[in-house]
Amino acid sequence: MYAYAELSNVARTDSIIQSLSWMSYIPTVNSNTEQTNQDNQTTENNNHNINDSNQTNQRIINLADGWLATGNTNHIVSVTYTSVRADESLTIPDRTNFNLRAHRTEVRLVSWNVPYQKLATVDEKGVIFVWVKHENRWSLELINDRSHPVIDMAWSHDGRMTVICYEDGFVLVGSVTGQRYWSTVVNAPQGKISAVTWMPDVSHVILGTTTGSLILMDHHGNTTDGFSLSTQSITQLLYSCNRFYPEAPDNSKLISSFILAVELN
Amino acid sequence: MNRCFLDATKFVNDDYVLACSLENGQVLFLTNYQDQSPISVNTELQNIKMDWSSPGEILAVGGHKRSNDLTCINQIQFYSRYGEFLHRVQIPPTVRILLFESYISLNLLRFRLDTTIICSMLGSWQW
Repeated sequence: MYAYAELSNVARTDSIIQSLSWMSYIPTVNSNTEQTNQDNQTTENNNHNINDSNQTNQRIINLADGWLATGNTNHIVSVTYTSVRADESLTIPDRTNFNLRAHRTEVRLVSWNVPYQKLATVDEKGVIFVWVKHENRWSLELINDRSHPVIDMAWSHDGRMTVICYEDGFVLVGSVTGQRYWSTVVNAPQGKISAVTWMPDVSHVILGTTTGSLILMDHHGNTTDGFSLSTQSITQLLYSCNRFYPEAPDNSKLISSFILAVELN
Repeated sequence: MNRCFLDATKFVNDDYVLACSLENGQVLFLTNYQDQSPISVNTELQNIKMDWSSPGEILAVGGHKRSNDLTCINQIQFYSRYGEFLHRVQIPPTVRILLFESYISLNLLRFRLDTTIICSMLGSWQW
């Protein structure tokens, strides 16, 4: 393993970045509409090739190029194309820098929904925007303003849902298209909510609290379990799920785990 | 067999590790959310932020600590999913404490301090 740090005295930003999120670059198929059909055919062919050559049913994902989103104190969300490729011949998008201006306060959190190629941004007042790229520009698709600061939010690993935790204990789960699935208020004797993540199979959300507890909630918002982990406040919860595959986690592995559970009994 | 038990053990496998960071700079590696004895690592860093590599194999933990002369040392540590320490990257010191927000993918790591620093991790993942 080799890590290399490059310090540039020339590069400066005019604002403090508060949050970063990255997703791999998926080239847009139809920058020229007349070629759409042809492009679609090419895409299909490519998909065939991928399926044929890859037995494990995992997509070949480009990890060298991507979009880096930053949430800044100057109210701006920036989206920048990044690449670690050495060769200059690679095809880069027409536009590589976007400044998204809609927030009126400091941007606290930015988070890509990779399967759906959308970006959620949250500011310090709790205003949430979901951005989507059409052609060569980013536009607002969803707006959510509960007038309460957001503690944490997380897209599900398949990208279909998001969970949002507010400072007042309100927990909201909605679809990527803006539909509310459930909401609840957590009056935790175990302290305030400080972090949230999804179970790998998206069946439950896991909340972390300021008193070091985990709370498990099912797909109706019912608390199904609680568990004390530490006396320290939980600051972040992250499953090692692969965020870059739209497919749900491999079912065969879950099934084999079930068999393992039976054996233990 | 009770259903809760099934739920808890559903993700006892190497593919899904739940990383949990605590206020004191500790990171817990849970094989499931009910893990009674998670692997615990003390990063000795403050204000940590973490992220898994894209394939979920390596956890990067970024934070800062104070040296004796009160300068701030920014650092990124890398761990395997079993909590084994792999690597440490020192970021050139800066005068003030900075909010550390890290972004990590398999081979690109970028974060923002006083100046822009780009870390690229090159080569294969065998060490």
